[in-house]
Amino acid sequence: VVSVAADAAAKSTDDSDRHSRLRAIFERDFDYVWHSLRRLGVHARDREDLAQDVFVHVYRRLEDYDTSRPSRPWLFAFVFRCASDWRRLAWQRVEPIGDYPEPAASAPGADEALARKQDRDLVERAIQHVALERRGVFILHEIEECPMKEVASLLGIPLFTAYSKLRVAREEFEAAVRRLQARKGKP
Amino acid sequence: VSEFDVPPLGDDARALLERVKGTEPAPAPKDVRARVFEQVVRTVGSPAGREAFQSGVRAQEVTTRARARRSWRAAAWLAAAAAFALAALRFGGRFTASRDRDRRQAAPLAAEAPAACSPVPSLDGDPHNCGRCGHDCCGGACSGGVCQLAVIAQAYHPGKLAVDATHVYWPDGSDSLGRIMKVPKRGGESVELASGIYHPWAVAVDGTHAYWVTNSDVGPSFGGVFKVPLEGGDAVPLVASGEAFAGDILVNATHVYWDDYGAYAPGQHRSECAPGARIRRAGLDGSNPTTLADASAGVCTPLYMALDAHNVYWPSRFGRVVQTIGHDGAGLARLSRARDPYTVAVDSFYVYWTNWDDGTIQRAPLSGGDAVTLASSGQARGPNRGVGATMLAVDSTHVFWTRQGPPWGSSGAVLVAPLSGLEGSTGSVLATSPNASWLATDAACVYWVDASDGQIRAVAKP
Repeated sequence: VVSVAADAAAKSTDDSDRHSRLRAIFERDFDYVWHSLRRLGVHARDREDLAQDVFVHVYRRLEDYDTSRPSRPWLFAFVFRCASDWRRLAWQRVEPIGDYPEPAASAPGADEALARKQDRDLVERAIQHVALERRGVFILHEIEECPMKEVASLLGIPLFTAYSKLRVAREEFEAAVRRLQARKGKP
Repeated sequence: VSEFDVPPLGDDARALLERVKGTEPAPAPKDVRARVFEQVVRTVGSPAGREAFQSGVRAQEVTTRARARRSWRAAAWLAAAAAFALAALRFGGRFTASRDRDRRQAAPLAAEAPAACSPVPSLDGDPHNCGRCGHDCCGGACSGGVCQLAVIAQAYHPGKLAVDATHVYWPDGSDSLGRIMKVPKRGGESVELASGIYHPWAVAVDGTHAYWVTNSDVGPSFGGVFKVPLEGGDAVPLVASGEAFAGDILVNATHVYWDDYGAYAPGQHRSECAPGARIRRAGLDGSNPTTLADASAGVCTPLYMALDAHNVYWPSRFGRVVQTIGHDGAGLARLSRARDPYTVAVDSFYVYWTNWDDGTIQRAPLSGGDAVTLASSGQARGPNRGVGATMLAVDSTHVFWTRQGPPWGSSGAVLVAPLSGLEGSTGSVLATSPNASWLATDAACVYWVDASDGQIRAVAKP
């Protein structure tokens, strides 16, 4: 009886610790997961469900979380997998480009914060023009600054394939930036 | 194909990515955040999650959603599990294996990485490594691996305190000799920032100034809002009169917020709403003093408030509700009914409050809903009522509260309980303190006022 009680107490402590860790990750990175789902084309109406799935997976794999390393690439792998499953299984179409607001025209005297916001909006829109099958590689390497070996590992693809995807993704991103800037009359 | 075969990004695109480094898109909607978290904890079987789903409004919302998607989700889970299993077979152990590969990008997460002890100290007696590496005792001693409380200042008649990165601040004195004081967090010489203040009640700090409210229980003309530089100097009145009984003050990057308790008419019973109660704000220079909400919005005897990135929260004590409004005065809402709300605190998901009447702690989601009682001993009245909670603070893992001594509670103490499993908890004593009252926290320590002897004390978080 003592042993059973001790086991139950240990489990309770363990559960409490796991919930605390999950909560800490959630508080810090929920917005990142949310925007990563959007970046990967998950429709607004399903994003909430997918975010839930991501964190349920995260909870079940907490033991794999290496606190000495940045959390975002690790989380992105879950986002990527959930978004891929969603695309494969769901009948719904991928979020059309345009979910992100058009950058506002830059006004004379616009302050630095506004300029940064416009740049951020431009990047987000340009990412939407990178094909979905290459977007994960591009985001992990160019935005999260993950080394390519880790990108390939996290996404479960051969390194050779990852580099191929990166090459095309860079071209798509650059072309999109040029197009979007031209549309706004920017240099 | 290797990195040498892939043309780098063009200069324009590279410069664009450099410019947005460190910026984030707009945050996800707050109600979505709270809803997703509740769904997750429910799915993984947390007691807190189950409790959250027992309250009506949220349960209805999420149950409807859950029903709507149950059929496709079942299929999705089956397929996802199969895909996951296949992927695991093919790339078994990639999550863990990846950690051993290229570590160029490794950046330690200071908040979660275990601190290193070198050379290894005695964890029983080292106040900077008490019980575990890096567990600092906030100026107190370490005995048997447990942090002891520290007395960091002796005050005369301290009020609601505040902390910043280096100091603890408090209003001191209940007459015209009142002062605004500060002391280094680990103790040291107390410094007077301003003096000659009538009845300073609560203080708040930002990067440059300490702000305080005065109140008067003898007449409305004394109430006001003031500030003084953190290095000391001339006190500047922001709103110098007309605040009948200012009870709390909070500050963010652009505004100072305070509440006006209102003024009782002669003979009016003190368990009714005092006329004139308001939630107020002004610019940091006192410009544009504005009433965000007043009695017409249900504000009734507000006391200790809380602030987050979007809203201000307060207990309308004798209105028996917890209320909120946006920083700009939009979105007034009653978040929950409450028994006798006295002080509130918020985290990303919930508003928490203490009930003066029975000493319990309750919480409700920021999107609104039924109150759930968290910490309670099950005894509704008497000296051991509830958990004796008076003032409280919350961080991402724990809730902290003070329990006043007799006659309000059985014995004074500072207590803590983890957020997960809080329901039914009576808390653990962090430190005994005869009449623990106002408290404030930073990342590592809890600071409080002991009203029995006017000491400012500190103890390490668990």
